[in-house]
Amino acid sequence: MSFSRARRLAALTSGLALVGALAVGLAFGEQSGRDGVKVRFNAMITPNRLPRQGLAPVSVSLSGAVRSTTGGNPPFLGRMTLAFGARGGLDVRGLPICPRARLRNATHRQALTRCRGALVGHGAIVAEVPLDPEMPLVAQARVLAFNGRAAGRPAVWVHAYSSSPPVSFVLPFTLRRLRHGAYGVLLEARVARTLGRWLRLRSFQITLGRRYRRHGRLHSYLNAHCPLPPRFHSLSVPLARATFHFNPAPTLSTPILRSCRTLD
Amino acid sequence: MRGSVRLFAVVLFLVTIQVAGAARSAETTRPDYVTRLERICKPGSEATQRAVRGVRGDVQRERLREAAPKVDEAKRIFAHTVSAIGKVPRPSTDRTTLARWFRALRRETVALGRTASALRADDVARFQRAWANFIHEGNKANNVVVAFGFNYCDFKPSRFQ
Repeated sequence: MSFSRARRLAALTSGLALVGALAVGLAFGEQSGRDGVKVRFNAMITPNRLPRQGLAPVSVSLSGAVRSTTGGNPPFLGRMTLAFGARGGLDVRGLPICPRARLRNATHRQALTRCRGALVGHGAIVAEVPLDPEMPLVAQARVLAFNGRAAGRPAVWVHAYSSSPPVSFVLPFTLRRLRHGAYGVLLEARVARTLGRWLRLRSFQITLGRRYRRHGRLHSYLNAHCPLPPRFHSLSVPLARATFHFNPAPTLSTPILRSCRTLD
Repeated sequence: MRGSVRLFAVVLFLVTIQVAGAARSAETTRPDYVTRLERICKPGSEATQRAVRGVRGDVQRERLREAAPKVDEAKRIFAHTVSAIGKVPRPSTDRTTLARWFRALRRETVALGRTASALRADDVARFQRAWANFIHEGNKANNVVVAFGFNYCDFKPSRFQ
């Protein structure tokens, strides 16, 4: 087999794996819809058995998709917020920060070379380029998430890159620690401002989580616990919530409840 | 004689066309159906939220027997709402989908009843299973009618906490 053929085959295999991963990720999950738009959202936490007290390192997998129920194009996604995790569950102390400018127009490999130390997640994005509204181009981009900082607050730079069609952008998510309610962390991105008029987000799948050492001690980017009463060993609790703000309407919110299991 | 039979047939044909036309124009459309159902579901949904106030705290403090009557009341409201919306004429194009939705809603009612009975019996393991099943059935019911864009008639787990 020639080198170029082997490379094509490898690219095809990884592409299929990417689509497969997306399909698996989106096969389940909760849906909500209104005004001709349907969104699907799913969340998973790993490991699924957690201590009752004290935080344990976890990774969180979030996936979502936007569809039209009328057959046409769904409206533009203006803003997206993802809430998840426990209070005190975000730890960025000592984690390297990647300046956003270093990711601009970078390929997947360049982004990794420039900011590997700040890597906090990975995944995939499917976006539509509606040059011809009847037959829009579909870009399947691999995604890397890096630890960043915006206006003095922690942020996540989601870097997406696809070679064909050529698409590269950085979706900035601001990170907020929540003090009230069921969730501890809120990620927010102004999608329309980043993607502009030409790209429409169709679906995403991202896994966040990173373990790193600081002063010889092991830290985790995301941490969680399962604070159930003593007699309980598992209970369906709010795990995550996605809110999709479309321009001009509607706003769709999808909460996810999943079983929280204790270690004992 | 033959002339009057012919006239009768023409009149009958015209009457049939008119009746069919009237039936078509009176048929429920999906937006009308959604509006009517939302009007029925809204008071039920608000009453459910009032009925289950404090259930979360009761469960966290393991006072399951105290939570049971609240969930029982929620089940009664839920069953009553399902029965009320079941009587509303359905759009003919959505009959199959809605039949699936009503089957899912009935399963949800059963799961909510099981949750209440597990709480009454102070059986933690049974409650965990029944509650997980109730949420699962609720999500399945939602997925059937996601294109309808319900708000109050949608299953929202936050209303039961």
